[in-house]
Order: sequence, then structure tokens, then C-alpha cells
Amino acid sequence: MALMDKHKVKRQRLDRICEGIRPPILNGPMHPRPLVALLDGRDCTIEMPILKDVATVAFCDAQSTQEIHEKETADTSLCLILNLYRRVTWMHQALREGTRASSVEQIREVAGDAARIRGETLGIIGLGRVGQAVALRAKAFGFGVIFYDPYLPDGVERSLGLQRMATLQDLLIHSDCVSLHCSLNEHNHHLINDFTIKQMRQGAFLVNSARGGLVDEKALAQALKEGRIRGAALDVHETEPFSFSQGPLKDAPNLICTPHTSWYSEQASIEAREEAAREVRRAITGRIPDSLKNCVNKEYLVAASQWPSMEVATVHPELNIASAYR
Amino acid sequence: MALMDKHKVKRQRLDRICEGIRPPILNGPMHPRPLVALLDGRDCTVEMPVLKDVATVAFCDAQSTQEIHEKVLNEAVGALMYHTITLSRDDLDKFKGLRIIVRIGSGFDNVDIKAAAELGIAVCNVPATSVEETADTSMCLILNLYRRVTWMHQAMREGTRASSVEQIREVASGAARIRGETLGIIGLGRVGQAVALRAKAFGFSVIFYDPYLPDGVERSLGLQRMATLQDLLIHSDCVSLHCSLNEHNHHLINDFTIKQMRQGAFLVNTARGGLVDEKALAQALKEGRIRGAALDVHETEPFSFSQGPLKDAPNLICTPHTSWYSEQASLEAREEAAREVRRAITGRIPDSLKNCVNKEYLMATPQWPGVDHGAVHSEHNGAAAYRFPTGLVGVTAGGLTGAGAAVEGIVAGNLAMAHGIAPMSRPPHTPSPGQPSKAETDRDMPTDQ
Repeated sequence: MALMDKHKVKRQRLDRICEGIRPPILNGPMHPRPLVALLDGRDCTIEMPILKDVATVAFCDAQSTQEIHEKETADTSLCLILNLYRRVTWMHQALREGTRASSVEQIREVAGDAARIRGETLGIIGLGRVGQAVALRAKAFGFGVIFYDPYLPDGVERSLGLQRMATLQDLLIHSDCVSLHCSLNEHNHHLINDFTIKQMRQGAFLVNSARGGLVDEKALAQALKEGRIRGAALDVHETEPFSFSQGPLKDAPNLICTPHTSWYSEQASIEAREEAAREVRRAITGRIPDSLKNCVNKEYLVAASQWPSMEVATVHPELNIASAYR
Repeated sequence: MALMDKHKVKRQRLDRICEGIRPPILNGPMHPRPLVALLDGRDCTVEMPVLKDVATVAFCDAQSTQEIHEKVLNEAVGALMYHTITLSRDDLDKFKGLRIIVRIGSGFDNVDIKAAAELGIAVCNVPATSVEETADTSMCLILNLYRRVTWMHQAMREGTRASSVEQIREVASGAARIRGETLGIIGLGRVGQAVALRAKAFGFSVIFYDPYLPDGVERSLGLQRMATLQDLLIHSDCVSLHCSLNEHNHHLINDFTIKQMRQGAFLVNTARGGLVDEKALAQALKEGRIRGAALDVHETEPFSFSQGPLKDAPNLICTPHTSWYSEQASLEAREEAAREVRRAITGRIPDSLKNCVNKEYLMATPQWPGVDHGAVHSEHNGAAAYRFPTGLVGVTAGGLTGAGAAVEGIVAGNLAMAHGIAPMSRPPHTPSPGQPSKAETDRDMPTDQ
């Protein structure tokens, strides 16, 4: 019985191979000099030294995703928050456009809504590494920091001295400034939308250095125009590259935008590229996913059963077809 | 013998009075409803409730003493002011009855406090209300230099698009990692300390230079103290100024000291424009010796990008002297300033004052050496009557027209200063604000002759 089942699975597999569907085979044989491709960039100078003896490195320069380096992103997030409260970016812009402020009354006018920070509440959505870094920096300015994160286990808040909110609504109701630091997944597209914006405080601030898809820009534009949101600072947008002259935010006031650069610093960029190349090297020279340091789909990989209760050694000879297909 | 000396002093005093030299008389009699004037603003709505039962409040909206109405110059007992007007020795001489000046803010480099003391005028400030606002803005400027948000936003406004990673790196080029950088703070007062503690949260190593602080402050806060300015400049990746402006540190940041800074360092100034030589800074920015500068204060204010030595300098972030401002800070400062004026009017100068900045000079100015203060009063009736120049009747019981709860705006046109006070001869003194300064090696206390 067991042998018949085994053959049935194998037949299904070979059928799929012939249909052109690549089976998930971990640690199968690999080309001695496999091809590693940089998908959405052109510059491989950092990766080359790490990989050149085990792989061929190529670039595709297609359009796709970025990665985040946590400290840079946290520092930029604080910069965005401070620019909303202290209005430096807008005032610099006003000066560039020729505004002059001679008397104190004129100074007060240019400075507009510049607000005191101590006593304000910063609401962090997503208390991962970036969220935590932002929380600790914000405390130094006198922010009361609260967070919402449905994925974290109990007690994290006690380590850091933050207040945890049980629901998104609770967080929105109690925050003077909301900052997004969660990843985008199938559950939280347009997390910030017309309905949730109406749960926010009148005149609250919004900061997003996470993912554009978390925010419904049409709803945000409307809220900015009506003053329900006093100001927004966005490093990421629904459509990138962002342009002030296009899209739903085109005529929205009180906006600060940067072109998805919160992660970037020269050092972070180099480090990230080196680490990525090293991870590819580990994949090529070691075992997947055991040798990998930051495999994000490990649980799904291992669960997809391949040759149940078959040894790896017996798998190999049957896979020559597969490897050639590779 | 003592009696003869007393009479001799009195005679000298009366002689000087007749010569037109106003003696500094602290706590002499005052009009029951003295005039208090806001010199360089229009809005007294916050100050009124605090003062209206003890004073008449007026505003001048002047940018110099030339624009102040003669009535105010003659009658004002108290003055409130911001940073947009300068009171040099000559300016202070124009006031006939002034006893108290309160700066609505912390810096008082725009007032010659020593000259004021010689004239019997106490000068106070409001040092605490904008400490965190200034520190928060300073951190914001520092972060804008490192993370380049302001410049990138500007680029976006101007139409730049960044699609690929390489384009993003290009737009963000220069954006630097903060952890491990050294922030050098010049002046570790209230604001300097607040900045130091915030900067530590970002991973900055913080060093400071402050020649006025006693030993050991650095140990309380976990900062490293540098013995000289040069030491600080050599070791800093970002230099931030948080000291007040005085006669010793004009153009502290100049061609020579900039050359002691690290190649590609950042500079931040939320203190006073006079601390930085803008010509030298512009040159350093153009040559890249300074990678970027963020300035809330400038040598000439109001600042304009289209004028002055910084006109064509790259990598500049500027704001119009707003780092102190939040609505709460502004209200608190104005209330506190009004309360200080009230303390001066209803109490004793300088004992009742909370933040008198020229107290030592006031007390040092000898008035009636060895004379009992109680005895002074009765002998002063002549002097008190003199207090207002002949030709001007003392303020009437009804006070000024429209007095009482009403605020009167006294805005002057061109005024001929027509009172016969002869210029006083003074001992050598430090330069007044607004005048070119020279280094003073001789730091004697000014004394009456």
C-alpha cells in the first residue's frame, strides 16, 4: 500500500514536471556555477566579490521591491514626525519661495501650527524592529508612546515601558500622531481608509515609512483638505515613483513626501547588499533553508511535502531530469 | 565726619542731577499706574489680564527706538520686548523713567544690560518656556541634515522622480547613518542638555564644550567634555550651537575655526546668528568642507535666500527664527514676562524679580554709599520730582488717554528728540549690542564717577 502511494505521488510529480511545473525540491543538485540575478537594479559591484567564485552574477534592472534597514528608517520616521510638529520642511520651503518674517507676529504666522511635543501621544502601528526603535527615540522627546500589534506576544510592552492597545480603533482614538511600521500583507491593505481615518483624532498627524498600500490615498487627500488630518508625511505611496503632480494626493495640503528613501544611507545600502549576497552564497553552497539566515517562507517551504518519507539519496538520480529542466 | 561725608555725597548727587544725569535709584517712588510698553510687537492680549490692575499697557510695534513715541520714552516704567529690536546704551538713554525691561524669551544679547544697570534699569528674561521646543527643532534640523528629508521633499516638489534603486540612491545621496556619529554641542545650558539627551537616543556620541560650567556636569549626564573649542571641533561630525551671544563669542564659527572642523561636517545653529560668520560658512559650503548647514538664526534677520552672503550657498536649510515657537510656549513666555513686570511694579527691584540678568551690575552700581536705604527715600523727594524732565508734567492721575482696561497703541512717526539731557560721560564700557564689537580685555565693573 505504502509503495503504491509512493509511486502515485512520484507519478503526480513527474506529470507536473512534464507540464512544466517546477516541483519544490530542496537541496537538489545544482549547476556548478548557478546563475544569480539582481532583479530590479543594475549595480552588482558589492555582490560580485562575495559570489563570483560560486556563481554567475547578472542584473535585470526590472521594477520591483525594496528592503528596509531598521535604524535608518527609524531615524527618518522621527525626522518626518518632527517635521510635522516643528514644521521645518514647510518653513524652509516658504523661505525658498520668498516669505520674510520680520516681526514676532509674522514669525508666529509662518510657524503656524508648530506644536509642543511633550505630552503628545504617538501611536505606533506595528512594533517590529523599526517600530521599537521609533518608540524609544520618541520617548526622548516627551511623547507618550502607545502601540498596536496583533502579532506580538504578551509582555513586550512591559520590557520597553510602552502602552499596548488591544485594537486598532483604540490606538487611533488615543493618538495625536499615528506612525505605520507594519509590513503589508493580505489583511491590511488600506488599513488607513475613510472609516479608520474617522476614528482618528481631529487634527491628528499621519506618518508612513512602511508601505504605500497601507493607506488609501483618496481618503487621506480628503481628510487633509478638510483638516481632519492636520498633516501627513509619507515616504511610501500607492504608486511609486511618487509625483506631486499626479495621483489622488495631487492637491492635498500639508503634505511632506520623500521618494522611498527612509531606508537609505550609504552604509546601510552597502551592508544590505553584502548581506544579501552572503545569503545567496549560503543558499548555493549550503542547504536550503537550514543554511539560510533570513528565510521568510521557511514554514511554507518545509510544509510543502515533497517525497514523504523518502531519503534524500534516492531522490537524486530521479531528479536529473528536473535539474536539467531547471 | 560721617555726616559731612553724607552731605558731600548728596551735593555731588544734586550736582549731577542738575547736569541732567539720572541717578540710578532702585525702588524709588513710582506712579500709581505706571506705563508698561511692548516695544516691538502689537499684541498685548496675553499680557493685559496680568497687568491691567497695576499698570497701563501700550504697544509700540517699533523696530528701533526711532520709531518709539516720545510719550513712551518719557513715561514708560516697564518695557516688554522680543528679539527684533535692539537697545544699545544710546537707545536706553532715550528712556527717562524706565526701571524694568523684560525680554519675552531667553536671549538678551540685543540689550546692553550693563548700560541698563548703570541707568538703574533691571533687565529680565524668560529662560525656560521654549527649552524643549528649541531642542526638538534642533534635533529636527540635525535629522534633516542626516536623512535629507527637507531637501528630498523640495526635489519632489520640483518634479524629480526616482523609479529605480539607483535613482533613489542618487536623490538620497549623502544621506548618512547616525549611529556612531559624534555630535558636538557648544554650550551645555538648558537647551544644550535637552539636545544631548535626545541625540543619545539616536545613537549619537555626544561631546560638549562649555567654559562656564563647573566640573562634573558631564558625569551626571554621561557626556564627554572637551577642554577647548578646538578639541570639540576636531572630534565632531556634527556641530550644534546652543550658547548665548556675548562680547566674547561673536563669529565663534569663522574661517579659522571652520578649518578645524572635520571635512564634510554638519553645522546647526538655533542660538544666535552672530555666532557664525556667514561669509566663511558660505565659502565652506561651496567647497564642500562643510557638507550641510541648518540655520534658524542669521546675522541679518529677517533672513532671505535671495540676499546676503549665503545667497548662493548649497546644502542649506533655513527657518525664520522659529525654533522657539509653539503656541503654548509663546503663551507661557508672555504670561511669565507680564508677571515679572508685575513683580517689579508691586515689589522690590531686584529682590522680587525671578530672572533678573543684570542683578550683579545693578547692585554693584553704588548709589548712596554707606547711606541707610530708609533715609535715602526722604532725601530723594527732590530727585523723584526731577525724574521727569522740566517741561513734561508728571503723569496725571487719570493716566494716559484711553487708559484703564484699554490698550493704547502708540506708534510714532518721525520724532525730534527734544529733551535737554546732555550726553553722559561714562567709564570705558563693553560695546553695546548693534555696534561693532572689539575684544575687551579689561573687565572692570562700570562705576559712577
